[in-house]
Amino acid sequence: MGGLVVAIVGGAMAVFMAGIGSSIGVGLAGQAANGVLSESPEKFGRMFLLVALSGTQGFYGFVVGFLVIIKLGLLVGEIPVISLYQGLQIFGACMPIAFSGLISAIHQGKVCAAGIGVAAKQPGAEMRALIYAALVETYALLGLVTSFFLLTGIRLGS
Amino acid sequence: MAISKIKKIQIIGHNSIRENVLALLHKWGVMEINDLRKELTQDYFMESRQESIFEDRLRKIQYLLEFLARFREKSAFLEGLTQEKLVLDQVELVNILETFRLDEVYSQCKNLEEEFRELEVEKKRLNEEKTVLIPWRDLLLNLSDLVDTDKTRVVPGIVPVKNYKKFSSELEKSSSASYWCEVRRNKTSVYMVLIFLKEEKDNIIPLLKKYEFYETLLPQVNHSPEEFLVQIEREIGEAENREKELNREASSLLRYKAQLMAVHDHYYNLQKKEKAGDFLARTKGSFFLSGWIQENRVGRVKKTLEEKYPEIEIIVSPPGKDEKVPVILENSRAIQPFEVVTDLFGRPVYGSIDPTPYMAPFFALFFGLCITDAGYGIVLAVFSWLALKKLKMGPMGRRFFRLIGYGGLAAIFWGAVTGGWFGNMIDRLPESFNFLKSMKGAVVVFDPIENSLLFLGLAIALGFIQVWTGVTIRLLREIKDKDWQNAFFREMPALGVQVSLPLLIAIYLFKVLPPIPVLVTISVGLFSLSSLAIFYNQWTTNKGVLFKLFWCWFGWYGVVTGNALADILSYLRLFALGLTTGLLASAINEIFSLISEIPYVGLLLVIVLFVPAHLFNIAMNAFGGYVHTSRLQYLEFFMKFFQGGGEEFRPFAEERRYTVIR
Repeated sequence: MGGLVVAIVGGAMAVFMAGIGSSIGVGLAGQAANGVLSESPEKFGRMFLLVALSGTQGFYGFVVGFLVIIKLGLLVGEIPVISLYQGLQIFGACMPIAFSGLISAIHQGKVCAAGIGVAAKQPGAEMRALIYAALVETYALLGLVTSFFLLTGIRLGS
Repeated sequence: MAISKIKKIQIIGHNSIRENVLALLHKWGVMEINDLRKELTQDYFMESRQESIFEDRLRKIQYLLEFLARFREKSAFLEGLTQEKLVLDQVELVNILETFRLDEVYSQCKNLEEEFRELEVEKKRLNEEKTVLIPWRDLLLNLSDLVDTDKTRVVPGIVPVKNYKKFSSELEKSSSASYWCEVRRNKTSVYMVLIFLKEEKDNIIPLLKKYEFYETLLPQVNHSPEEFLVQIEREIGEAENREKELNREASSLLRYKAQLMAVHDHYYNLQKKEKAGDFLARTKGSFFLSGWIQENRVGRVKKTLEEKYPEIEIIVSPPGKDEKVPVILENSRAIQPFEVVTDLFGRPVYGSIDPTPYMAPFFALFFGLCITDAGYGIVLAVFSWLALKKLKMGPMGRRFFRLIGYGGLAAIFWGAVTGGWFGNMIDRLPESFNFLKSMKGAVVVFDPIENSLLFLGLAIALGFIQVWTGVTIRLLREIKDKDWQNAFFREMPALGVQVSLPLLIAIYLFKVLPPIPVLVTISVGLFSLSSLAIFYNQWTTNKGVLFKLFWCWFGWYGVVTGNALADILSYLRLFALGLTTGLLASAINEIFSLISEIPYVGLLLVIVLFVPAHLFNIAMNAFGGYVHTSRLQYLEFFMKFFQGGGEEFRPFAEERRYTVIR
């Protein structure tokens, strides 16, 4: 049964580490946006995207966590026997998105916050700032792709 | 279908027709007028005109609009995104200009703001008083009674709890007739009133310092604290009521919003005309105007002006070599929405290539691939169609929504091909919907999750095509410009490496292609030939043997890792984003099917939350798709051939920020 525990911990880490990253990232950008909002409330809609962007990593983590849940059959209730090695494999497969999500979301949040500062002074700069922020997200996406293939590659069951 | 041809136009005429010519040009809106003050000496610019009246009016209007924005009724969110405009006709506009009293509304607003500020200060003062008084509410005396008498001092004050005991015992010791009482005590402090003889103050005052007794200044009123608190509370209530009243008054000023928007645009254009007048050079009798105009507009402008003013002189010439010519993108209606994407990056320089038509199909396909769900595509397409239909907006807004519409259509295509309809919704439907399942099955080509490698390959292949297209566009341009060195030794080898390297990798690294001699010969040959061409190019264009060697290696390394590997691998994001959308959609379905099993409540939750959950997923992924697809265009595609630095053509024309005239 040890394998199952390790696998679940892996899936959980994918979700919560990427989630922590996104929370911090969105938090950073949100603070910056609130600062701008106090002076020009009409910018809300335009700031919104910059604040929301770092939220995606959390979802990438969730997708991997969801794949683990499906893989382990937790929803169906027919849980296969999982050896410790298989559990460790799943755990390892979750790590790329867990870490790349955590760290890239934080840094993306910083880029977004800076972008909000720019957009506050130059109307129309939001979209350009968004593209810079998207450069950071690349590595979370690579983490997601790697986690996905590692997970689908692992064979469970007898 | 590219960058419009621009001509330089110069107009010389008599001063008497200057205003009329400007008014005509403003009406036509086909010319960008240059500020000649940057080009000619001061002598050509007459006395500066007196202070403009429009500036002051515009400032007031701007202030009012901003003030009213705080009280607007609609959600700021949608307004910020779409910036809907007010539609007026000429009669309504004239009517507004005649009846609207700007100064009256302005002073009304100023008064309101002043009163808001005063109330704010008043409320703050009252609240501070309240905070001071609250701990004293158990004191039953009138506050005005807490005053010194001839012989005694009466001091209300605060002492820390930890010092209170010692403080009282020392007071007892060192004075003959002191009195003190505890009014209230909390965790940290004791609130007390102390009465002592004035003649003993030399004994008492050091004690106050020693035990950190702080005198509190209580208001001198003829009420007990409790009574006074009630009064303060009432005053705060009154202030708040007044504030509400003011809020209502301010909101009622919103009825002027339409008028304000209309007069803003009116004065804004008058000011613009006035400012453009400053750009013109003048002598005593004549004016000189210089600007840019689209080639196909020249004829009509010239003819009309010359017919109307026979004595006018119009000179049309091609732009000079070093002149910064403004850029107009000219594309067919179908392609126009994609100019939104190009414009965000910046205009290409005059005389170079407009990337819009080449980028358009890729953008739509990639955006769709990031969603890869036919259901979601339908929602997006319908949403943008409705927005176009229902919302009034400027041309940029319309283009944006049409762009989203294209993306939605592409998403329907990819979704149908991969069997994604709101995630795995169709598979979850009961048996009676089998016809849907068979319809879905009929168009499915592959399943992106089971056949994820194929999906990934598709993303990479599309990337390969786009990068290849980018280099080819540049190559064709160089051939057209007869720039043979770059065409043969930079672009062609890049294409060669880009084709041969993946082939070699596929044959030897992944072993997905058989090592057929023909294929091997072609790819090895192409790769070597391309590499040699790169070496040749770097060797001839750099100086010094060491530099030559370094650049040979580095140039080759750049092509191999950049063009052939990194650029193409970047398209992996399409795969990741597309997969995420589908998986999240399936996750939503999964979660809600679990919820629906909860008796009674479950069904309710599903009804209320199921659609919003999917809408949220659509919004999030469309947004991600838009941003990442844009990035691919800018970094992987534009970089291959795009020459930036062009300035947007800004015609001297009517410019309406808030209104549209019918």
